[in-house]
Amino acid sequence: MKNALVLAAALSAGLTMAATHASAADGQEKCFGVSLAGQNECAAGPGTTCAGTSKVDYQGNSWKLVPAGTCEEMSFTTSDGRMVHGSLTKLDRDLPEM
Amino acid sequence: MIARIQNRQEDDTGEASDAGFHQAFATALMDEDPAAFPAGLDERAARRFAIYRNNVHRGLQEALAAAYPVVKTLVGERFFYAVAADYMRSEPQRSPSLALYGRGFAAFLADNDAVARVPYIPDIARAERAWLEALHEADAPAMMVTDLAGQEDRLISLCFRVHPATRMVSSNFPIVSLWRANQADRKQARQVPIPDRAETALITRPHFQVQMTLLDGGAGNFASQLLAGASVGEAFEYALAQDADFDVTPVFARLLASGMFCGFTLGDQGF
Repeated sequence: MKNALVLAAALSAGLTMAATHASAADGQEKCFGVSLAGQNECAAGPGTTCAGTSKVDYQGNSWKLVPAGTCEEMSFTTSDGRMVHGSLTKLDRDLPEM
Repeated sequence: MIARIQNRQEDDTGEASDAGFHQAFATALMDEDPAAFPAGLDERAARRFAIYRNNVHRGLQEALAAAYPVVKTLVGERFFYAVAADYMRSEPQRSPSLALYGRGFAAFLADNDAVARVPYIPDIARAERAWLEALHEADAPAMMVTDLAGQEDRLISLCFRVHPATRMVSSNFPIVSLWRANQADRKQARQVPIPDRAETALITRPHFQVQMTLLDGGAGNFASQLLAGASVGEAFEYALAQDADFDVTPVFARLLASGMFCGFTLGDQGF
């Protein structure tokens, strides 16, 4: 049946897609500058000490665990309209005022 | 108020009277009249009863507030606690732990005339309840995508076993977007537009972390069939019948990776 072959191919593609995603997600990486205020997993540096303490959205020195390989692909628009990206290393942007 | 000092053991003895006193105690605990107390208490004990009663009420209402934070945010604290005070009279506490108290809260909200003007509130409550249940559910190893190795030719006839912590809540309203926009620890209000659409929340608990995934209509149709035990082929047919443009590939991938399943069986009917 033609439909069955099409569906089998579509599902197989889905399985491959899931496998690719899953193998990347097996690991997680610390991603700086992507966490919303108060939702970081941990962080170091002035203005914040640990989980849940980031003061501003996308705070550059707070990190969140994200699936490995996805951090630097993340981008967000801040409330003042800037486009910001995730980073594997600490950032200087969006630090809370001391 | 002068209460006659009474020693109930003088009136009655034995288990029957204890059961009667327990019943009167439980009834007075939830009485609308804040001065109510079970017969048999003297005045001092009645005052202490009032303190105990207040603590019980407070505990139940705070349990609801902890379980339904987004509902609380959306309706406001005053309204929430007023409804919670009504609700606690309809659901007696049955377990020493309040972790899963509030099972019927969504249905209770749906019956409330004032809530009816904000029709998505009961669905938000259902999603929050699902989240809470997922958090406390029994554990089981989630099915890994790699577990399907060797099944590539049989995907159509697979049926899945559902992970105990998996829940799905479908709504005519954008419940996932609303839920996300009203998380309590969000300090800054961000201008995220809430789309006007039906949304389905898929709640899973991979790696001990509860997560809510947004499913659109087609994905929701497909997932609901798989949860009901349909084979992948049957679920696809159903979703396609609802929406001729249903694209199964990305949906299948997301569901497989979501941790919503804990195993699979090979259904006997071929596609």
